Amino acid sequence: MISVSGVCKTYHRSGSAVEALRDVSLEVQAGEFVVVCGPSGCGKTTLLLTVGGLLAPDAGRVLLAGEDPYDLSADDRARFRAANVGFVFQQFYLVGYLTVAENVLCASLAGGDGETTARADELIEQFNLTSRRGHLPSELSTGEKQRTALARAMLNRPRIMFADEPTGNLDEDNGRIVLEALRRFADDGGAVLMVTHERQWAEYGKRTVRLEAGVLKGA
Amino acid sequence: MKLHQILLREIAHRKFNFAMGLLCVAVAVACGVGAMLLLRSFDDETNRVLTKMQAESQVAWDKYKDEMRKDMLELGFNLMILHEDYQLSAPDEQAKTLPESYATKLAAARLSSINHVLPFLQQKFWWPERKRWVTLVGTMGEVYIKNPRWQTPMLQKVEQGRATLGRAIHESLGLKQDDKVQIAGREFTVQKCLGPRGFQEDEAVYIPLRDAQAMLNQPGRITGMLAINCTTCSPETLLRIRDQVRSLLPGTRVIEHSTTLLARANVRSKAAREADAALARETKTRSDLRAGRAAFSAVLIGLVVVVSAVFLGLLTWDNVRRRQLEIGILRAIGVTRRKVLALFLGKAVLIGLAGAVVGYCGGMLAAVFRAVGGGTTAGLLDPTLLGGSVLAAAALSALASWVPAQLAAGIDPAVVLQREGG
Repeated sequence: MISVSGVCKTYHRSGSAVEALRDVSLEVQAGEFVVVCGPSGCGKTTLLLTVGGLLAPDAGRVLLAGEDPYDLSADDRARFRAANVGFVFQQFYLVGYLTVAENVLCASLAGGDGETTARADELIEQFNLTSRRGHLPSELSTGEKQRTALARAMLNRPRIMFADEPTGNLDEDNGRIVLEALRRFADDGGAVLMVTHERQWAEYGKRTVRLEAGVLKGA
Repeated sequence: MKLHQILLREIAHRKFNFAMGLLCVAVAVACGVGAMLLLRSFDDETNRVLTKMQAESQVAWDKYKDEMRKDMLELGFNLMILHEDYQLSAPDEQAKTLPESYATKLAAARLSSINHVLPFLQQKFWWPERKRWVTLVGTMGEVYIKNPRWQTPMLQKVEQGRATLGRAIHESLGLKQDDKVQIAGREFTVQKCLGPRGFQEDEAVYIPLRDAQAMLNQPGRITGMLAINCTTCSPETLLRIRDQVRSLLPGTRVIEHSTTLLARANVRSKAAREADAALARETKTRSDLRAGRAAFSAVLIGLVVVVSAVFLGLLTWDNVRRRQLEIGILRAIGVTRRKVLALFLGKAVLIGLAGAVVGYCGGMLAAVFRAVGGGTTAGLLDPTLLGGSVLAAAALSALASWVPAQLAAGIDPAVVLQREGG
């Protein structure tokens, strides 16, 4: 489902070059939950963005569901992401002026079909947000925010889920809820690639790899 | 979720931004609409003033015409048309004559001011059989113009072979009607003996024009003609009549028999002419005033529109800046550039539409205040102007927001997410 081969990414800032990814190769099959562990600044987010079709690599190739997103135009790549990929971030990134239900539904701006409202209701119920559906993000707990973000990521029934430190701001209970949800997603045939610096969550993945200074180990 | 829903929710969330944008558009539209409505109000006022002045002028002219009509009924108006070099003091044999065709030409021209044309040939003549000087006048009566009913001879019309004698002639020679007389070998029957008329006419012998032309050796020539009874012409035409005749009959001189009438016409038309002049002055003043106001409005509107557009652009740019993360995340989850563009341009169009309506009301208020000061409130709610304002404001608003909207659409989600993610 996710195929990464020989990916390199270098940032050029203030005249100096920082190699964020060095010849990274990785395969994540359907139904697989892969956890990438590594310390802060090792390139985890860069890896996620690059593999997620948001940041073009300098070298190497990325295939998602058999297609290279960087072969597509910007708008086609966006549509591809909307149809195939879900993102969950540490800071949730909810839209502040939309309610829980609207935040979940805003993923349908990118795509979706006539069933999106029913699907949103289903996800809201699934993530125990029914009583919060009319609330703004500022009125939610961090756990509720992350569950809302997770529901938004799953609205369009993606086949691939990318999670960037999804438990970074959560307590243990809420972290568990989120990771359980990601595992269920994988169990249902989806591919999950999660990056985190918290080793204790690695047990939720079927496979764990380490990223150190842009080099992937144990893939 | 639809684009317009998120658009409306964002507007509800950032009311100040929307209100400021709306204010920008409203001010520009209010200036434009207000200026147009005030100019329209000025035009209406101009029409009212000029119509009133025109009516006053018309009254003055009507009064003048009526007075002149009365004058003409009293005085009549006759013209004597002579050769331009004709001199009353010159010997008759040297007097310049006109072609007889001038009489028919003048009649055929049917000038509205002339009803009777009477050609004549007149010269001092030595009557050899009676051994005395007479004024021999050849006439042919009147050249037909239009109304046979008015063809009463204004000058003695003499039948073929007949002669009419002035009082001094028939009295001194003891002649009476139906007597036979010989004039230069031609026999004439006295048709009529005239009563006292005046010195010259009392010394006259009237014979047919053809006989006079032959006897005076002036075939096809006439001394002049009388244009008589010009009582139905308008006063304006009366004042122009000399020029008309001179233009029609080159080389002629036109003498008015009743110059008093012309003098009266000049005096009596003064009030009407002054009314016309005042009307012309007012028209010019108002036209200049309007041009000045229109130019000022154009500059003001242009300036306000530019400033509003710049301010609206800055507001949109600020909106984009504040929503970078939101745009980044929307782009990350698959919202296309086009939809992001539509999100910002849609908001700009909404601002334009709402601002136009508010601005139109503001412009109307300005016109209403003007109306309180003497203007009119008629036609303030002009659907065409309102529609035009709404469309123009929406287009202008979208145009002003175009660059920031493009910047928003071009936001790279990876850059935003990396920055926000620390």
